[in-house]
Amino acid sequence: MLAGLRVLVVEDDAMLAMALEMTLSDLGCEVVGLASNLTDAAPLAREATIDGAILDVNLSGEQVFPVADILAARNIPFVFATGYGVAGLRDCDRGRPVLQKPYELGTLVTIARKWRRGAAG
Amino acid sequence: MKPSEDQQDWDRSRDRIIGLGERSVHKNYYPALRRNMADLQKLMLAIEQTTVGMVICNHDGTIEFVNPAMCAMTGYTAEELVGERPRLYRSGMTPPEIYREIWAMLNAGQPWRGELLNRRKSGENYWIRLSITPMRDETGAVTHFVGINEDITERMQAEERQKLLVDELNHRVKNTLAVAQAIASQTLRSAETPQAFCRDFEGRLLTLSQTHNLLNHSAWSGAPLRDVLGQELAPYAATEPNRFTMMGDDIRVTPNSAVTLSMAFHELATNAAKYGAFSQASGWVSVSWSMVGGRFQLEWQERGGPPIQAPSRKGFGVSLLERGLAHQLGGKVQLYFPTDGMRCVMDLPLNRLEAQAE
Repeated sequence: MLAGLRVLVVEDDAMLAMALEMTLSDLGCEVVGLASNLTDAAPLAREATIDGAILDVNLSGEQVFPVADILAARNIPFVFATGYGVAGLRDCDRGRPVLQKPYELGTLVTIARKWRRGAAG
Repeated sequence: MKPSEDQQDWDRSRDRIIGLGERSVHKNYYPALRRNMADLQKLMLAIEQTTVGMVICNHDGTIEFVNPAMCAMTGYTAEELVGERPRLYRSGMTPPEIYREIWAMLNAGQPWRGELLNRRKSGENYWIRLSITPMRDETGAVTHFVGINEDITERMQAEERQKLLVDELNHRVKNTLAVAQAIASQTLRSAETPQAFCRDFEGRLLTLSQTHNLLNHSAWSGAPLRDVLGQELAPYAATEPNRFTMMGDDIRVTPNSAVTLSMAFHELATNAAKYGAFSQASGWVSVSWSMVGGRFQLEWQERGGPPIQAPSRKGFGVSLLERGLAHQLGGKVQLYFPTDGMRCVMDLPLNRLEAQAE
């Protein structure tokens, strides 16, 4: 149902990154990039062809927001993944979808379906 | 209610002090005056030596008196404060409603108690617990306000630190649950039976838990590589000595690296126990590493075990090593399966691996 969706994953934890990658490929998505820090994520966010992105808010002490800004400027939708809840977001990001840790697959699918519509439209 | 003895003493002293003016003209009053002077002196010494800051303002809020503790707290001298208003040491961070509330209470003849953020002359902010009470003369008219200031900055900072710790702990719990979730879903993929799932999942969960114990020793600032590696290898040397060697200068790795490396070593060790060097008594593992030119290079070499062959499919362990670890730390991990013993070579950038000094 999400076949062919191109997804960027920014997550610093190896186990979570692997699990997300497998879950997304089970759903038929293509993980176009896997980054664990801002330095690796920024060029992917700027240049890769992406339908949507999953952004872990806290990357070993760095915050993912510069990547969010790059994606927002390109009108690419994304979801924040966080254990802090909405309290960990900037004011300007309130209203963005949030995936709470631990992840609920159903929520991820619901969010990614909207990316699909965006990609089609 | 009957006043306490202290209260009665105090009332008597106060009566004497207030009554001083009219009674002092009486020629028999000199001994009483001397006693009053002693009382007054005691009172002044108490006000001068107490650690709470005391301010007396007149009815329009101009400071008439401050004690030394108040000067120490604000950083202003008595000369600088007297004649000013308490707004001199406001932080500007207290909402105006609070001041309106204070004046409403005082104007109604009621005391006000609360906590405020003020600013020292140095510019540093400090928290106080403040109690302001209207002072009345004999006729009952409010003539002054007395403010008692207690510096509670340390307590407020401790509360702030505690709040941060609770938030951080909450985040860590959520993150750990997500990692446990990820381990479960990936263990399930390669488990052939429910029993195998339970065994493998339990082992991985215990590794995660033991690494958290290691990190707790340093308040989550990092963990020594030797401990991370040792905790995975030690169980295999419990009955037979000399099952493994570790060679390399110790290095403290970041919390994230410690978790992923311990999971990686766990996979290598359990694989060795199933198919490799730890599966028979003659086998041993040597782990050596070096830090050269900003790179961390580690080699895991198994010897003395049964002949091995490369796995037919990539399970959790191989994915974790080749994909997970390499991705997270931005390096390269290679696995070799010559028949005489498995070999794993890690080449990782030191700056991503190494923890900041404590």
